[in-house]
Amino acid sequence: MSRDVHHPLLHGACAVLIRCAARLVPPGSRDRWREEWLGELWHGLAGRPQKGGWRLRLTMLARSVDAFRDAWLSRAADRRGGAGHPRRFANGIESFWHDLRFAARTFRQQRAYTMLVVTVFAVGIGANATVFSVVHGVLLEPLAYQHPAELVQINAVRHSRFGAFVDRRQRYGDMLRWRDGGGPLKMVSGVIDSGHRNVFYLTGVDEPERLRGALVSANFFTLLGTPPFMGRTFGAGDEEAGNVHVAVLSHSLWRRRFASDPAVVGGTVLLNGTSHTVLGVTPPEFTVADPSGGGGYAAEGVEIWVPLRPEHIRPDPDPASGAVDRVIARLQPGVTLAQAEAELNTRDWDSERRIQLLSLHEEYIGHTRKPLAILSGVVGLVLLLSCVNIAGLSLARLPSRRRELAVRAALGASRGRLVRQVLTESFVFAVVGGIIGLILSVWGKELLTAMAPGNIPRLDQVRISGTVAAFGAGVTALAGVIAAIIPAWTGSRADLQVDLKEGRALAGGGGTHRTRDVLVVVQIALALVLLLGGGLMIRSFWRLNRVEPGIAVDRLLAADVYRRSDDRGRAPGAIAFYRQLTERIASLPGVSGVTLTSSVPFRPRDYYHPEWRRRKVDSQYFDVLAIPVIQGRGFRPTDDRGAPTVAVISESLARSQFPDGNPLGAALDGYIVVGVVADVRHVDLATPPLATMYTHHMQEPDPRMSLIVQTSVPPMSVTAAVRDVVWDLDPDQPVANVASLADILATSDTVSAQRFNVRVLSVLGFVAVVLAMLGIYGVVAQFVTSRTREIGVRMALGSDSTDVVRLVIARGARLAVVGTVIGMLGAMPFARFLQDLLYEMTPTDPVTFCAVAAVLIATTLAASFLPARRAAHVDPVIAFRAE
Amino acid sequence: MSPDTRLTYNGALVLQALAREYRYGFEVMDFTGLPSGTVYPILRRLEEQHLVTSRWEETAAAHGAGRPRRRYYELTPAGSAALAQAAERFAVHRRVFGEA
Repeated sequence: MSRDVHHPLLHGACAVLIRCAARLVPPGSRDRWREEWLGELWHGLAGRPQKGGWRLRLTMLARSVDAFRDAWLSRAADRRGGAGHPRRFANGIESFWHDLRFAARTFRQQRAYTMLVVTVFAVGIGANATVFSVVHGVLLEPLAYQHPAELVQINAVRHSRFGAFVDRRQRYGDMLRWRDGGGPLKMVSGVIDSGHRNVFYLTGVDEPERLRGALVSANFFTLLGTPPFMGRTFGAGDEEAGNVHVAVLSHSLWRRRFASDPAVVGGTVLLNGTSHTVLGVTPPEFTVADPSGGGGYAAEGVEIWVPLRPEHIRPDPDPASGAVDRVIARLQPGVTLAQAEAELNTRDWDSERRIQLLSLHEEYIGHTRKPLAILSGVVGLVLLLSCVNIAGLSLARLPSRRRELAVRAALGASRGRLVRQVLTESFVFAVVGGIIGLILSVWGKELLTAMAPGNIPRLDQVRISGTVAAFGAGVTALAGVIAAIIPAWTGSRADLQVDLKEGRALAGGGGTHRTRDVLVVVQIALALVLLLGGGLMIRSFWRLNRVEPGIAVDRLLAADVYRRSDDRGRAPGAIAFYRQLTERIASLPGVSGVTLTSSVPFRPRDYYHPEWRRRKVDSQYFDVLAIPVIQGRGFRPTDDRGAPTVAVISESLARSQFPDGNPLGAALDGYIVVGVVADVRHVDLATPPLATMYTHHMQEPDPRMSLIVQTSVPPMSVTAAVRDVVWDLDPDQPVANVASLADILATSDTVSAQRFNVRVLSVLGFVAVVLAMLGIYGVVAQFVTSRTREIGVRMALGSDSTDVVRLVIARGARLAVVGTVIGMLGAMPFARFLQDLLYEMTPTDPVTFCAVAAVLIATTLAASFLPARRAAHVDPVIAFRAE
Repeated sequence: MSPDTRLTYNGALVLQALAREYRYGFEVMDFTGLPSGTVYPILRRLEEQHLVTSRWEETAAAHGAGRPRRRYYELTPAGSAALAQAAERFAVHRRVFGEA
């Protein structure tokens, strides 16, 4: 039959489409439907003249695609059993299709309006999708372990004279008892991942490296349900004393240091000078979050695991009294966390502590809930503001659409039908904006995770997943409805008599003006809330950066040069090594001073006393860090092992321990106080100075000392020279965490968190102000349009341009003031929510409130200026004619 | 309820096409400018309302001409009456809209 058909290839393709569509038609009418369509198709391609060929081809192809719609409609009609029943449904589909095509026409004909609306949608939806991707990856995504809901961490609530506190550390003996005692816990594993016991020096390779590791019970990987990527994980015999030393590598370490060589498994590596057999490699997605919530070493992550053996537990000779850093467990199936906790406290009652079980998920991410909730709320406000803004823009278009809507009503369209049309149009804009927003959120996610402070865990799991896309789709639908509901309802109130008889587009009734005014006031109020958030964070960040840490920060380089130590933390030869190291580094070009410390500023690793912190330094410390000596002296090179043990204390420690007397020469905790130095902010800028005791490392050797090098050149420029000196003294000595003190401060949790908040809230506040300005501009511009005749009359009667500008700007000013007042009231509870994020500020800081209000009013007045200028140039003659 | 009260504007257009001897589905689409997803459901609905009938053309004739047979549609007397009423109703609209 096709031999007489023009365009046989096209005919074949169209016939295939029709046959596929026919499968949707109910069986009873399928044959007739298919035959009718194929007959029409044949005739359409055979009976037409050749000219207009491409238009014909396009038409036939479009109709063949449209056949699916017809087939589906006939299927729907058949389901509803007859003419009357399917009519409404079929008409609904038909009208939706019609509305879609009408919306597409609006796209083409009103490009400026379309671009503006789509952009505003994209910003609101994209911002929400971006934040949700972070919330989902960090908070909502379950831990990448088997049955993560069963995993818990066993904490202890203890009491001190300072109050109750949660202690993660548990006695080794308790851990063994929980592991072997059955009950509500199916498996129990101890973990040591802090201090010096979990530090491993990888040597025997080109560049020695200090690795952060973890000592874990043999059942650690089994408990988490993590099979190895290669080889095997630990078995029961691996944690017995005297057996071969073994290790499991992380996937990143295997890739980075061993070039993904499978031969590493079964081979040996030198860790702390001891040969360890590599049993296996963990999967690439296996990560262990830093349980401290991202302290100074969060960036390292655990890269190597070694079995926890009794000799790793101190003190000797009774390991049961020693402690592990954490105990994790898997609950028995069917046992709840509360049940397990109650049973453990009953079975293992201890007057000094109460057992507290916390889900592992909560342990890792609990501290991020509030900041992420605040961020989600803020972008939610941005979305609301976007929708209100679009509603205002849509209302502004209504006067020009009144005639069109009146015609539809005359042709029989119900009010609901008109509402659906406007909703569909808004929905189409929202979908296009949502798709763009979702695409933008891919970059937004990268930007947000790059800026995020270091204490946000699991950022590597943040991605634009199907769940995020579904969320974006939901937000898109919601935004489309919110933005259209008011314009749809207002526009559907068509007055046929008025709207059809008038020969011109109406400027919109009083009701529409009032609705637009309300929308603009809402926009200004929302913008004020968002701008206030940004303003508070800016002021807080400014206050934080003005804090004097009490030490020199510029031109200082820090590097950890931890010597290998035994299980008791002893490192013979460490003092001699450090002496030689500092002498040689001090003679390097560009170096003006060098010192040693056990605790780098803003990356603290202090020793803890119940009432103060203790830090080991050398005799140059106070000079290099420019810490003034207030009383007595600093350390001297003669304060060595043969001399009386001395200490220098901070002024706050002097005040607390010696309130009435002179501390010099007094004994404190076994040390003779020889000097008092000024307080310093050693932890971060937000933490007040802590009472501190400084001791000399020569009198109390510490194998884990860090260099601080004072330079007369950019600090990082001496890095290579410092490394060369270290490796010249010991080729197997790792040099880790090399950074300038300024960078360490800038990336400290408090500063980076504040900086992050400032950036995000400022950007969102700026976006909000721009949207509010757009809204005001639109309202005032429409005011000018609707009052053109009145303005013309005023000018004809003697008003000058200044009076007209004043009239117009007053219109915008009234809205701005009302919106600002309402915004202030709404901003109070929002500001209180930000309390925890602010540094030494009340959330109702009057300076910030006034500044933000002033900025908002000024910008909205500026937005009124252009229409006001236009109004001032109205020609009264033209104004009278323009009606 | 009389057929006219349920006759939409598009339905009237389709009846008008049939009245002008455009009998086949694609021809009705060409005349009215409506898509297939509109025309065919309307034709089916009009047929159920007995305003229109449809039948296959002579199979032998079609096959003899080397082509598949087609289905064509015709107005019934009720359909003609409905069209007349619709024409009068929409003429009012034309007068209202016509001067714009």
